[in-house]
Amino acid sequence: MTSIVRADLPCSYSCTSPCIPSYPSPIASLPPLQTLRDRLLDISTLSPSDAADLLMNTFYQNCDAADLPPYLLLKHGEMRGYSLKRHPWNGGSASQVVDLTKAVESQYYLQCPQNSKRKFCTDFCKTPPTYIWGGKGTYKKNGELNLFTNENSIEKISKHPGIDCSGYINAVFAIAGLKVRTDMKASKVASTTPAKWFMKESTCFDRVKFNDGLKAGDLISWRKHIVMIDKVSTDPFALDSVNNISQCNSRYIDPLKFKLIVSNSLGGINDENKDQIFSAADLFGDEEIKSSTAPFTGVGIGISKIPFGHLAMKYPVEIMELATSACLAKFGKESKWNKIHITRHKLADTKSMPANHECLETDKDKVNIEGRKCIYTNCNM
Amino acid sequence: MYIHKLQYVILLLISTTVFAAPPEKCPDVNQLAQMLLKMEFHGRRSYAHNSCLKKVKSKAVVVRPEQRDEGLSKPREIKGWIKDFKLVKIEKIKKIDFPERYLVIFSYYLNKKKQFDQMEIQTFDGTIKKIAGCAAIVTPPKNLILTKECINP
Repeated sequence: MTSIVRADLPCSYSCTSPCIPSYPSPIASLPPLQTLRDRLLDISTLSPSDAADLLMNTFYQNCDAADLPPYLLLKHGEMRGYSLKRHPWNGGSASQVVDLTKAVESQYYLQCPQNSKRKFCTDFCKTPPTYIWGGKGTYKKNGELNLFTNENSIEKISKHPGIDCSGYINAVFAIAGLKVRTDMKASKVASTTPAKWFMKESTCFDRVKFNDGLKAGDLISWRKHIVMIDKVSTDPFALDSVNNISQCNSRYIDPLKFKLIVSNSLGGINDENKDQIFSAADLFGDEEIKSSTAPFTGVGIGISKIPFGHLAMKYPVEIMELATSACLAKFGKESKWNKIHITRHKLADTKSMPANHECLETDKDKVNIEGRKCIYTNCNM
Repeated sequence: MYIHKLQYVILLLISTTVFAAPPEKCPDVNQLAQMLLKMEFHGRRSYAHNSCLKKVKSKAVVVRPEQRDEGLSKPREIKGWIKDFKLVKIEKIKKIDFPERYLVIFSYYLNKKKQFDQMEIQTFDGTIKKIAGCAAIVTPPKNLILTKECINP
């Protein structure tokens, strides 16, 4: 696994070797540096974005999953080789493998066949994971989170690992040792806290304003989905070319030009056409997009890092609301946007965790993640 | 056999219009509101009935059921069934204080009684129009009402 560089601290040397930040002298009073491995072993010091990377690598049992280039939906499409299954009345999607070769080939984050010399790793090449609605892993009483299994009703349909959007985010905070809710411990949160819950300012999350700047680890949530910011530029919504407030609209804001990468567990886009496979050209019709033959099957990739703007294919109203609001904020107008929110965990920026905090998991309730041994043992950190 | 092949080709052409590219110039907001309202009354928010949407064809508006309501603990309640979409009338459309958004106030007759409801819609241009069509519903009507033709879609 390549080192994760703390964006807030400078590198002491070029990042051809593991990049260990050097603390400038004014903050020499900070505790001794920890290597990435130390940080990952002591999960109480994980930042949300570090936890997201660890979770991703662990979920796929792949040292490099979190460092792969973003998953481009228009280039790769959705998972193939699965039969889409639906919850009978609310439409939540699950899937079954029907063509293993196609399923493995289309899962971007798996390395198949797995290296037989690796120790302590689970092989998912026969059960490649996808998005599964309701999937959240299983939390054991001893505080261990197993991401590779789900509750019985899901296991009966999808005999492969899978997780949904809120299951993923809740797991990230559980692994980071950070509470999502003060009224319950991590192992109980996942089954009660959907994406829309994160929209409201709560005891453990603060609302982020555009002028405060977005950071890795921030959450963007709306009624139907939640993502975590992975990488963000100084102009995430590509507004540099917008010169006045009258241009804050969809003619001038292009989601395919956003410079913002998010991690999430992504469900299917074309999920109502279970018996048909459409290509990007069929769905979206644009000449440029027509050059892509990426199939949209309705089976989502699940845990992935994607360009945020690509989500406009599935959630155009919410994505455009966020970008338009950012544009209005650029010109000093605060809009009354309410369909999509950005929040940040109160302890996300904390370099030295307090001994006690209502948003910090107690030692006895901390969650360990099954499958982590594979990463620590085999990944070059 | 030739006729069967021709019928097949015609059916294929018709089915692909559901997903055809949006037009260069979108209809005006009144027409878009009408199209979106029709989707609402033809099962856009009711998974059990959303195959009724195939009765609503539009190049301008992407005819897709609302993305899955993941997290619903029970099906959405259908408040009523109207005999015909012709009983639905847009009363007023007004611009609201957010770019490209409009409030659509409409009425319909249910059990011979006139009812009012409203929804918010958004129009699109540029790249997002190519992805999402000319308009979408931002806030749906309070009540879920369907037309009787969706009972057995």
